[in-house]
Amino acid sequence: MLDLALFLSVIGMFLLGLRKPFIWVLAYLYIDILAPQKIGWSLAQLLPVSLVAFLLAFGGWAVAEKKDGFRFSFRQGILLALLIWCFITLQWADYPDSAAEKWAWVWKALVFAIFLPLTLTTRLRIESAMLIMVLTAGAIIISAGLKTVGGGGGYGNLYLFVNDNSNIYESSTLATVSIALIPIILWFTRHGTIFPPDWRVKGFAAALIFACLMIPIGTEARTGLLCIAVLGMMLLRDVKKRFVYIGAAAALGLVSLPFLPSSFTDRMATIKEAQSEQSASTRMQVWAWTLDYVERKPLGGGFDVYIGNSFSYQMPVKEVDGNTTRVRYREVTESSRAFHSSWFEMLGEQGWPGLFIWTLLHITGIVQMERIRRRYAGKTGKIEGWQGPLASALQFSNVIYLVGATFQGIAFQPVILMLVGLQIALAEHVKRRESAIDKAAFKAVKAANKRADARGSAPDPAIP
Amino acid sequence: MIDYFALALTHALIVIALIRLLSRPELDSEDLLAREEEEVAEAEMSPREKRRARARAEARDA
Repeated sequence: MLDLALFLSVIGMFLLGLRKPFIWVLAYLYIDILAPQKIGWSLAQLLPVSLVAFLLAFGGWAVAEKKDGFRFSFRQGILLALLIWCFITLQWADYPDSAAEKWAWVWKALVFAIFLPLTLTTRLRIESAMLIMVLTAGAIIISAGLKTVGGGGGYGNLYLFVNDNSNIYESSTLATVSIALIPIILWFTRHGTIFPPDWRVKGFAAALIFACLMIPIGTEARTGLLCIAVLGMMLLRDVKKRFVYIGAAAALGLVSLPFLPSSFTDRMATIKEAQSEQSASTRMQVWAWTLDYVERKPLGGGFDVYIGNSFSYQMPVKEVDGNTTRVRYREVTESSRAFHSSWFEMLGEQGWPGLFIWTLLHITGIVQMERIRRRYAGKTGKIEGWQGPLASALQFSNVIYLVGATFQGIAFQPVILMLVGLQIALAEHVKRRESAIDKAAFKAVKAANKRADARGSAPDPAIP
Repeated sequence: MIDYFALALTHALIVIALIRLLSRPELDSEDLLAREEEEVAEAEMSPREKRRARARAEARDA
């Protein structure tokens, strides 16, 4: 039954694309985020749906779309540079098999992020891409959120549709991505046009945001908690009634307390005790190892180079014996530990050039969104009122991602690369509109001058 | 059960969204020069102003 429903929705999207090829782009977003082919899907395991959607999206654009506004932006160039650099480091990868496996999905995510802005040429397209992303990720988030409220969470215990740690089905990644989506959900409650904001949209958005906030609790991902804190502080910038907001945030925190399982509070308490906690110790050891590694190989060791790490360290262990507490040091040896940080992932795998390109990609994103936000600040209305808030939302998502990425190896997370694509699309849309307005003004002046010349008098000063 | 609910709810919304998209021409092309309604209203002249402007233009051309 479920198989059939998912199969039909994918096929339905493919068919709708025959009428409007842009739907194929949305189909790819949907398939890449949800991975319906992995949700117990027997019917179409035969059909490589992800690849089909990828090809349809490209083919549809290449054949059916007009490309008069076609522009290749600076940030798409950065993405392209990253793609090329990753391919180069692949050539000297320390672990070629493993590296090839990672490259197989990384190139796809990067190519799609470069491609996405080319298709998002109108406001409605940008909105629809975001809507499909939010709703598709929403399926995973709503289910995980409800399970958490029902008491089914726990680190590594929360059952998602797919449990192979791929894409956003990895619990910490899901936590970061769901918090990063909150600003975008909020944008829909004011500026959506596909579902014009009414009480139903606002109600659904509130429930979805609540589910998003439940994810770090359900997955017990400590990074998620940090992301929530950062989001809370950033939202202060844009809210009008700050005191009401602070009160509401505090109330929400209090309301959610009963849902926190004791295992969650125990795990969160370990944030403070980095020294005696193995996860944190390992993290720091891996980071030290990475710095050491790039000193020898500044150009990086290719994808999944972490496999080669191994280190021993002393970890304090508390032993309570009656009234006395002894601290003994135990030697722990670890090997092949993942980077647990996108910065170090980039540094170790792609070397200093890779880290530089990746950092540049995200910093330029934050700056670009800030520029748009300021340019459209204070504007309201249907035509100029949506760009500023959207830039602000995409900027917040980017910052939340960078916070999450500091403690997770998610440098090439496809959903985040889609968000980068959305940022580029928004910036290009703003540019296209402004240059069209400038051109129209220029034409008007030229026409006025011509008229004035014909009359043999000075140009009409009333026309700018 | 929860999985079915989450999938059914979001998929229903996706289907509605796609159907609404199909009927909107601005999906493929939009008027980049569109201005806010209030502004357009302001820019529009009243019949009296139009009459005056026409009279001015005629006087100039003559």
